[in-house]
Amino acid sequence: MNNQNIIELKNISAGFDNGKQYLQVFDDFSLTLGKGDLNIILGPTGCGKSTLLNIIAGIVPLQGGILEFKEPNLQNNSRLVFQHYTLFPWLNIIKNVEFGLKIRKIEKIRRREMAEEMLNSVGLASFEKHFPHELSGGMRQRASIAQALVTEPGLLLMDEPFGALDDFTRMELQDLLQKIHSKNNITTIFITHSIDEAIKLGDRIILLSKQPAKILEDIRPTEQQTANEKEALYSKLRQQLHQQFLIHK
Amino acid sequence: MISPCCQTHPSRNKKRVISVAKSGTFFIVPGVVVIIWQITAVIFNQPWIFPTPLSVLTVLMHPLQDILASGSLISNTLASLLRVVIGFSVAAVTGVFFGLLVGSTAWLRALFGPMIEILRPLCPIAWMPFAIAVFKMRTLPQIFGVDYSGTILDEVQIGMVFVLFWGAFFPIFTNTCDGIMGVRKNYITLAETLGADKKTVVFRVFLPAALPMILTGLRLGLSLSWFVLIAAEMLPGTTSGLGYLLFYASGLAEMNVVIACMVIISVVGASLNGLTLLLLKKMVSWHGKEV
Ligand SMILES: Nc1ncnc2c1ncn2[C@@H]1O[C@H](COP(=O)(O)OP(=O)(O)OP(=O)(O)O)[C@@H](O)[C@H]1O
Ligand SMILES: [Mg+2]
Repeated sequence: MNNQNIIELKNISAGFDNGKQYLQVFDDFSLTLGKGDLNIILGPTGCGKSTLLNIIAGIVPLQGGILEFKEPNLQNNSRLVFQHYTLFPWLNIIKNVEFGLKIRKIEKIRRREMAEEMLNSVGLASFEKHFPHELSGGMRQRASIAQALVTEPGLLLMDEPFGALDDFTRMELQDLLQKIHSKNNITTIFITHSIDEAIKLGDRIILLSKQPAKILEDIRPTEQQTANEKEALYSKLRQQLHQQFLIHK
Repeated sequence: MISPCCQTHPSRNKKRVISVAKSGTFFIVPGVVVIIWQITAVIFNQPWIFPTPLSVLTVLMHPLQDILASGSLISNTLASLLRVVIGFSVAAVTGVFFGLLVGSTAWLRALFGPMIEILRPLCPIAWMPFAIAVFKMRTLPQIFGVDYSGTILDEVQIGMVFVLFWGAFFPIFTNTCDGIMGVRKNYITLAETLGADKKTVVFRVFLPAALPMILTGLRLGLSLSWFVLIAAEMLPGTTSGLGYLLFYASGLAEMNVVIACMVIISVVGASLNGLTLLLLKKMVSWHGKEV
């Protein structure tokens, strides 16, 4: 396991003002993330998972505290993958993948080569000319991953990327992500509602509570070796999540 | 595509029968209307009020013939079309440009919003007297220093273009603006995290994302400027165009010419609309299918 810290959130507070009242989503919240880890964020709906991702991406401003990156330019070099509307519907798949390269003014021929290679590696080589709405949900998420990875990001931010997929497709994409991550070790933050997914993918699982969000569990599932230990971890997470839902009610 | 199978599927056969019947029904109502029209017109027998469809058809069959010393149907139609195309084009360019600018910039919206809301409800025809006072009868070639170009451009008065511009500008501007403001945040975020600056976001995200709305605005603007044009051509100060011919012929109780003009106005209007609709379908095939 890599222990070099790369992102530090120190005593941050953040929230939203909807005009009528202020909603405090984070209050005195701290978290440190290690380089190369695939971090999973679990938590009840509305607890602030997406907000946390957006804070790290620099989309949601902090009200207080410090967000520190230990690598230069890491925030600008982060890519997002959403569950929905994660590709430009007016561009075909290869143009979608090329979008970030074009902005970086990479020459046309090279751009096409890189995009084709990337699409090939996510298994979409023969769908270059298709538009997003002509692909299945799983293929779209593959394309979206290709779009994010082709620009060689230092940080990958994924907000329930496989949340809308059927179990089989979801497993395929989890395998794809695992393969990619074991190859390039991009620091990843991955939000999910699925405990299975969390345990399968995570180098580290962080379970958040309802607002204001606190860290309830911070686990490295790879340290749980035996089947029994894994089983125990699963029940623990399940119970914790369940309790959060009960508190909410 | 050629189907390898020579037998058509029964349900498909049925569909074809229905579609043939449908294209048949298309003509039923207009046909009946024309027949009733012909019969009543013959019985009524006052062609200066109620001409027969046949006499209207006679006018339509000779589109190149001079009518009442006011030019032919074709030349008047061309004059009208040219005015609309020029007035609409000016409105399209400025409407889309300012729509993009104002739609993507909050402080510009705050600054110009009230002004726009006051000008927008003003009927474009109400600008006509003002436009005539300011621009007199000056034509398009004249502002480029050519007194008389000898082309159809001499029929394009600046005042007319100005009024058409007001007619088409607001639907184009407002729809562009609304389209820009309705762009999904995900697309903007996506572009920004991929490294796009403000200019790139405007031209590579806002513009394509709002294109369906922009095209709708253009379609509305074009229809509206055609409406406005016909009314404007009926006002004093014009000597050509379908509206002019229609109004002039009505003064001479040439009702068959009046109705022939009405037919052309509606056919041209429908064609303009159909054309833009086709363009819309072609250009934004993804619209309504975002996922
Ligand atoms: N732009 C916003 N304006 C106002 N309130 C917001 C905004 N975004 C999020 N919130 C609120 O902040 C809280 C946290 O939202 P967030 O989207 O981070 O939750 P989440 O954990 O991602 O939920 P889910 O699992 O349902 O996606 C919610 O109560 C939400 O209503
Ligand atoms: Mg969320």
